[in-house]
Amino acid sequence: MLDNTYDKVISCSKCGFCQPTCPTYLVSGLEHEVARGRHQLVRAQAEGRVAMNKDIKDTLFQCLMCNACYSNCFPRIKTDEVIARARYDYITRYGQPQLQRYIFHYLLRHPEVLSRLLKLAAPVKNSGLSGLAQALRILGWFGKNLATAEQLLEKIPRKSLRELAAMRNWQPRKTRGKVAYFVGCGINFAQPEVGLATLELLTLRGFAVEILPNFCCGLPAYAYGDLDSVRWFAQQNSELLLATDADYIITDCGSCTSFLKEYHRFCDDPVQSERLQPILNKIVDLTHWLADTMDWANYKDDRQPYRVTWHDPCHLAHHLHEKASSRAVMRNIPNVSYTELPEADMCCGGAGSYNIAHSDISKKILARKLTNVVSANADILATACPACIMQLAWGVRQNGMPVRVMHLNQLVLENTVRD
Amino acid sequence: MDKKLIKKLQRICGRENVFSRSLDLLLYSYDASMEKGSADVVVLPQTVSQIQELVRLAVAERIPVIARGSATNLSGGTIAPQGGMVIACTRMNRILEINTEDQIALVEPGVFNLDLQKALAEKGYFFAPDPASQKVSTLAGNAAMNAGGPHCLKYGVTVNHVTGLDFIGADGELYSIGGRTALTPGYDLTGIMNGSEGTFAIITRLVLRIMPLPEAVSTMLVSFADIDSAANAVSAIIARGIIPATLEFMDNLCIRTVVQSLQVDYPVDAAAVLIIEIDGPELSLASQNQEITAICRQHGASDVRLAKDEAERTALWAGRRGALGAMTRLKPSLVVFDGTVPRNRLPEALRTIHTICHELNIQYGTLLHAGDGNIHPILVYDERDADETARIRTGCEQIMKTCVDLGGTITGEHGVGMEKMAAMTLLFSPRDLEAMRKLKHVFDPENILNPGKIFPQLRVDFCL
Amino acid sequence: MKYNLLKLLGDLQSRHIYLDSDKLAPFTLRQTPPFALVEPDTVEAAVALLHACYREKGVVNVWGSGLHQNIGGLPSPFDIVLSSRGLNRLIEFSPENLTITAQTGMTLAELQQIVTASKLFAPLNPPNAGHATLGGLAAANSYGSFIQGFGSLRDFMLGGKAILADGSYIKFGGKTVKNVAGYDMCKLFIGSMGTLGLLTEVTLKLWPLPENIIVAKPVVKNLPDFENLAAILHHKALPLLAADCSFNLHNGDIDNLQLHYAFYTTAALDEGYLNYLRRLFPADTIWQKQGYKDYQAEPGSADNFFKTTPHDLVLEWIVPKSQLFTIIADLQQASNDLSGAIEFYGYPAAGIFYNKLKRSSFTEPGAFALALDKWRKKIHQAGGFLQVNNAPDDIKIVIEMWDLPPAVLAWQKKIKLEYDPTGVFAGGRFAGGI
Ligand SMILES: Cc1cc2nc3c(=O)[nH]c(=O)nc-3n(C[C@H](O)[C@H](O)[C@H](O)COP(=O)(O)OP(=O)(O)OC[C@H]3O[C@@H](n4cnc5c(N)ncnc54)[C@H](O)[C@@H]3O)c2cc1C
Ligand code: SF4
Ligand code: SF4
Repeated sequence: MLDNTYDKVISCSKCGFCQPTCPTYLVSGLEHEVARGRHQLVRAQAEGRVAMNKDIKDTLFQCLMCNACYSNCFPRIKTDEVIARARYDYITRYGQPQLQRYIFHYLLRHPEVLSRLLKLAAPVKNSGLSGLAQALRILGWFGKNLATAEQLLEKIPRKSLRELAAMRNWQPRKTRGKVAYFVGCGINFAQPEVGLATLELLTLRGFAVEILPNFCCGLPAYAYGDLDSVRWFAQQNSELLLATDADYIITDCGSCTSFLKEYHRFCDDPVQSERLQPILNKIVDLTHWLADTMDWANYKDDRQPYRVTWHDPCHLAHHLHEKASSRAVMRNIPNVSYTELPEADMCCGGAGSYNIAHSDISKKILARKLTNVVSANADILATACPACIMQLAWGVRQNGMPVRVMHLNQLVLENTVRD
Repeated sequence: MDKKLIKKLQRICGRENVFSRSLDLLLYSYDASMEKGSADVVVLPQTVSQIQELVRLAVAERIPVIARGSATNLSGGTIAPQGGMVIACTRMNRILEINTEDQIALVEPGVFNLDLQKALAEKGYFFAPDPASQKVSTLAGNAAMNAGGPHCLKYGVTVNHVTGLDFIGADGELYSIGGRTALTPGYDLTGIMNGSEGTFAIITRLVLRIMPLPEAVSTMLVSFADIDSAANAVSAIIARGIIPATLEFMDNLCIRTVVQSLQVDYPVDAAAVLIIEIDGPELSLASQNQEITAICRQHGASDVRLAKDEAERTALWAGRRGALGAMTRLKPSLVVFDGTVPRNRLPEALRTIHTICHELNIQYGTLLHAGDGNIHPILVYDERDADETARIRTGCEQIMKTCVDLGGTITGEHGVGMEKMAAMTLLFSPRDLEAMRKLKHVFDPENILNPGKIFPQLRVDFCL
Repeated sequence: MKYNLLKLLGDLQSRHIYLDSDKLAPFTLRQTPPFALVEPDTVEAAVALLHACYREKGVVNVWGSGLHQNIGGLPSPFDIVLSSRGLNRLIEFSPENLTITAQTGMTLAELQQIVTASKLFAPLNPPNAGHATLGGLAAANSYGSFIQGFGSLRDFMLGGKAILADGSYIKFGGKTVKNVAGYDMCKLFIGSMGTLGLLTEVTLKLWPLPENIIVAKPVVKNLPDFENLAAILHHKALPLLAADCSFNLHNGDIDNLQLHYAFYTTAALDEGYLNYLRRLFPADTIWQKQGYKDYQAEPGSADNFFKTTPHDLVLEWIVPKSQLFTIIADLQQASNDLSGAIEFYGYPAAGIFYNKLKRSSFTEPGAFALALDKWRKKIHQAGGFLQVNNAPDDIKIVIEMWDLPPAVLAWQKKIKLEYDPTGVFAGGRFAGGI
């Protein structure tokens, strides 16, 4: 192994403390599906104690990379790093599936193509015809997971966030500062309304917005072990980040935020890496920013408070260790009565496109989440990651639950007085 | 393993619950100890009757059966040194009943200790055994190991809180022993079953005694400039007739490591700290705290810090609970030694351990359940370094011997498993062991259940 | 006269063998005195005796103070009484370690005297047991009201030594509270009624002697009052030392209901505790503060209750705590079947109760056997057990004294057979005739 992955797994003391935190373990009870097992496998591989064959695939690929295990892990092993590396080795050996190659090496590197394809797909999908993947010309590659993929995406917006955002000028009346907005793919293509809410809030609270012409942050490629693509995305985006003169760089997708902050790991050039460090510190998740700027908010206080509960996106909770901000924001809104969701920081099973690739296990994890949502008895389930929103909304839809799933910023905006 | 047999297992438990690829076996070849050994098949039953059929099949085919919970035991208890079938109870994890009127809880074997605690706390109750691994260890694992924890000083160990068990015996039958009452007539089968390390039966259900939460709790952190003073303070507190709920000890290396890894607020320059907790009716705490503080000061305590609120209490405990794991930061592997000495011999034991580790050039930190005389020197090393590993083994042997010489025992709460089999002879004569073996013979005459554990030499009467 | 026994005793060449009938008379059971009384004063002598018995097929009955010899079923014949009274030395008392190790012929009173001098105590107070030996107490797992505050010997016997049927002298457990080196053999011997081996030495965990005791005697007129009070105390973590309750049941009516709770405290705390406890108890409760010594010296109602004659029957039952009052009510109804009074005595906080009735309450044994069956059924339904501790011989013949589920009994027999295959230790009295 090239990097220090081996040193990481060798420090796993096999204490097993990761078990009660690990969603895949909790739904399976299997040593294959927990950080300890994953580390021992990677270690055995490195030491040549296990045959390199496709049996190991599930153990490596069914990890959510949620890093919930990190919180109980004494040697503080970041499982996502171990797994990404192991997946890289795996696809290097067994080849990368066609679909992934197409997405990471072509579509995401040419967002304009993706955008065009989605436009073609939108009317088909939204009229209920089963033609999404056909339109994407990748039908065969989805295989049996197509149905899940289709259900997850309720409809495809006709216009992407970038297109919608371009129709307006995002200048505040009174300027407190300038932010650069990093547009996540999920927001751009699937949930532009969330992005619009972000832009609106940023301006309402007095910030001029520069919308970065960024590429995908690279996390999806990372999750599939395509570290070469990750380098490409990181390289492209780093240039943009270095170029901006904004006070903050903001995203409204917790996953993007946490991944951008790790760009230095994918930078082979030490000089560039050095230059990046201070910029990465300027990257702020929207939730954090909302909490920081809470004093400038002008909230409505005009109704019986909604009962609101919160699902922690893994990248906020277990990668950025940012759990306080969202709660502080919600508690500060008069129209909100906040209740804590049991196991709030446990993954929802969305995990990017995990729900499509491993729909069985993902459904079990989601079921556990939904059971908790029921017990929290809330009107609104808020969170801050488009993948979580998609997954949770799907679960809520499927089960006919009377809960609105929304992004924190939508909740905030809905309750903000707009003069 | 034989294909036909696998088929049979699959018929019992379903295909998706039987695992026998080399990868599967690799993943079930270890636990939290230093030991390794590979089973031939792993099954994850979901019902008691499945376990029953599995055991019946194993008996018929003469395959060893190894029960497994979370595999956090530190003695090789879930390793399969002679191959066989691992029965992992991790999918049987429901709390079946919490009955505060009878003050019992009824649980399946795979429930995490802490999950039960959480459910009980909502009703104002708790389950006294609280091993440091309570987040993750299962209740059957706790019973099978007779686990201890900080609060055992006041409340006793696991066996004192198990009133009944259901189990599948080595004859493949389901038995129910004990019950919901404090005592049951006849030989104390429930008592014997606790601490039998999976060598008597597969536990399928437990009846646990639960207790009302104390009205108030108060926790303090006391610092000492030298280890002897801390150890003497422990004896003095007990001698004064105070039995705190916990009386825990950490030495300087543990303190520093835990401070580094968990950012807890412990005094890094103290040679040792004691974490003392008392509980009871609110009104009883202040005067006891004063008394304990006075005793500690008399014995040279440099600082006494009382947790002001629940948050501070939790923070103090986070340091103690995290200490063992934090030590893994120093070197990749560690072994936790688990001997016990009579409380009054603690200072002597600590001095000897120091000498041993010093001479063998072993890096170690010490945690103690001081109130019980249970010592946990944590020896850190790198498994890849053969020489260091050998020194660690020597060190462990010498420390065990020290404990026995001081009138103590080789394991206070982690069990014998494979790791301490040989050391059993330090403590017991062949006759003593034979008397224990008789008990094994009663429950498992064919030596099917968890063979190759506890007793010094492997029995040769079992072969596949 | 059996030749083998003569050979056996001859081989022993011990000073402590008694054959004269006046010496043997006190050890008569079922009208038959033993062949010999042996009172070894060294472990070696006891080993030699048991070894000889094993070889020569002699049967011994281990005898401590004799307190429990009437408990359980009819004893099967035995040749030799092995008195443990000669083995009564203190081995080690370690106040700093809160442990004491003593030979099993020592009496509880002797032990308590040693440890209370260092302000410690063993929380063991079976009624009338001052002169009972430690061995007998452990073998019978005897307990008194302190079981409610501190558990039974099962919870605080840490280790010991024993001689098994084949004469092998073994040790088990240790001197530390935590000890998981091998199987917990203590549990095997506690409550085994002397059927598995001769305990020669025990190590007990000790507690600091309570400085002060607060005694509460609530005035309750009827069971519902008592039930209410019990419910209030039930969910509280209190420094309970003991609780007991007694009443008489006559023709379905309850009278002379007495309650008594004791809490341990320290001189510094007792005022505070008293105020605290007052809030939980009825207003007219009688309160008393005592030192431990005075508390112990006070004649207890238990001692009276358990002073039985050969014509008394004593039943012991344990039920899950929630079932206590239901069962009392059931027995109240059932008492109509009998002509005499039933006395009740019990440890409410542990769900343990005793009933005493006179042999004269029913005409023939069969009537009692029928009534017993009925009560047992009720108690089993409630999840409990009912055993008959004492009964006249004519009753013992017709009933099962112990109350063991069949599966448990089967294990029990296997254990007995493993440890004592030839029956060196006299049986009969224990469950299933063991
Ligand atoms: C960081 C750390 C801290 C620890 N702290 C403590 C502590 O403070 N106190 C303490 O006592 N221990 C401690 N331990 C050790 C361990 O957690 C305990 O031994 C625990 O009781 C094991 O539970 P488990 O579920 O992991 O059981 P496992 O390790 O899976 O099994 C333990 C034994 O129980 C048997 N077993 C499991 N399930 C069954 C069943 N259903 N029927 C019959 N037998 C069964 C197994 O065969 C094995 O012999 C610690 C371990 C770690 C890693
Ligand atoms: S990252 Fe998540 S899924 Fe993967 S091992 Fe850790 S907790 Fe489990
Ligand atoms: S918690 Fe960390 S060290 Fe412990 S087993 Fe899991 S990954 Fe390994």
